[in-house]
Amino acid sequence: MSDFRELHNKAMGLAQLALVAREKGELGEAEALAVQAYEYEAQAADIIPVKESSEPTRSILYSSAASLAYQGKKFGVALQLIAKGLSGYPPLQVKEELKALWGQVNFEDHLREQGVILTPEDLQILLQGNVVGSGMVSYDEFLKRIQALYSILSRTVQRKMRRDYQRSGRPAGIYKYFTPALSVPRTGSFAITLRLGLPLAYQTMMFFSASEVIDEILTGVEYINKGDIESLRRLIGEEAYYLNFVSQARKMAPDGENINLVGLSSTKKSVGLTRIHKDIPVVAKLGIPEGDRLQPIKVKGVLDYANARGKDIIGFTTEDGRPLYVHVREGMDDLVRSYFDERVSVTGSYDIVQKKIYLTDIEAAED
Amino acid sequence: MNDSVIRPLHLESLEDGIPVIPKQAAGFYKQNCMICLDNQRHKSGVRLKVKHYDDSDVVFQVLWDDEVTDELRRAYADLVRATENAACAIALLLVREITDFTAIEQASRGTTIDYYLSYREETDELIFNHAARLEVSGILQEDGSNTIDGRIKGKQRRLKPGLPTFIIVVEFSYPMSKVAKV
Repeated sequence: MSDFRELHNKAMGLAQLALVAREKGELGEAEALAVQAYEYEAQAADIIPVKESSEPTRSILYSSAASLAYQGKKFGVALQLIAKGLSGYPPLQVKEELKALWGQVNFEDHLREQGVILTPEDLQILLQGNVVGSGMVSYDEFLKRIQALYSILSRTVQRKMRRDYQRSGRPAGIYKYFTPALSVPRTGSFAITLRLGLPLAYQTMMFFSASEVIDEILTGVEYINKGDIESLRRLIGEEAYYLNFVSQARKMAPDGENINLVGLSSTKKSVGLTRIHKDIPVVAKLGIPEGDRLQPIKVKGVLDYANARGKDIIGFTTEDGRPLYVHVREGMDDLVRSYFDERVSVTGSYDIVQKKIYLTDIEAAED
Repeated sequence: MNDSVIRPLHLESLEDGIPVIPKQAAGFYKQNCMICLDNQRHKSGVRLKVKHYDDSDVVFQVLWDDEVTDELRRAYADLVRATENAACAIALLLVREITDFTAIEQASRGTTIDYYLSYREETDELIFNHAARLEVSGILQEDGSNTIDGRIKGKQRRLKPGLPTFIIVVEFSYPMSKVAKV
């Protein structure tokens, strides 16, 4: 057997044992095995010459080695291995995987460098991108994401308490129980920690912990990042909660220009949301009636709560002064509510008879 | 391939001819399979119907030596994880049995695990230059919103252009499996 094969086979054997150790909860052992595995895989990758005909083998090997180094918490090494993989001629598929891995590793590396120590009740959100500077962040970019995360947290608590989706009115205080605490920012990124502190009076009413809520949110965001909508639907179950989660995660996601990574982390898990919001499918298309009188529409204007007709019909005035109505599906109400009295761009199907837009997407209008 | 021939599929053979599973890990995967099949009230010898991507059916008889004890059930109490791990094991066995490929690389990404496959006789150092990918999904018990076809379609939608890809979904209540090639 060639040296290359031997190195690769050793790496894969150790990688598999690391996976088994992780599954058994032996996390220290899993990390140590992953470190051994990456060392062999990196040596195998180094044997392959940097030329176009070496692909995709070369970049896949570096991707594998970097992933193993990441599992072994060797973040600096992982970033170097990703750079080696990208420096060759990686095909698009592998290139995208390497870039996604870079975002994830960089995010965790940041947490470690910053010395952030999270408790099981903590959820950290980190932003990276062009509008993030030395401990500063564009207020608008930050605010809309923290609002979306707040909504996801509150709705996840409601859902886990097995309450019906509450469409209107203020949610009871018990659902809104986290208090934000600012962490120390660092150049090139901005992070805050949200602590889910539960008032003593409510503690006996809860059959789940704050860390379970956080875990479920991170798993959901991970599914969004992978585009695994089916798994997300299974995780959440009820349609309105599902729609709410997707619409808010979409609002939270990077735009690819101002923000290129939204990282979420707990003591157990980290997820780097790198999927840009336009690539997250609009799910509200389901349930929209079909017919000749419906036509696609994208129009700018202002949402007008004062002209609302019932719980699911909101007033909307276009920029040229036309009064229309927007039909909002259950689950998208939090998203819509966050844009009241703002200039927005509304996408959906327009009923030319009823002058009503069946909403599929809404976002702040660009000038 | 046809329905009339039933082929044995020994879970103990996970340690043979699948480079990505070392001997020390074979037992872990075998036990995950046993737990999922036992949970659906199947015993060693249960028939697994496999819908091949060329539209033919292959039937395997899944066999294992050990007993499923209460201790083993407690050790694998997380059936969601067990289902995913068991599906990987069955998928890797099926790749070995019904294709010219075998799994040589495991690629962990988030909560799912994909594999790279190469031809069994491949000797070139550029092992992935003629490779394929394998994406696996497991279902403990199919229901209205959680179906084999739904999982296949979901994975097909998310695939990015690149290497040819096998998608294998394993369902443990019938039990059955579907193999798609993209």
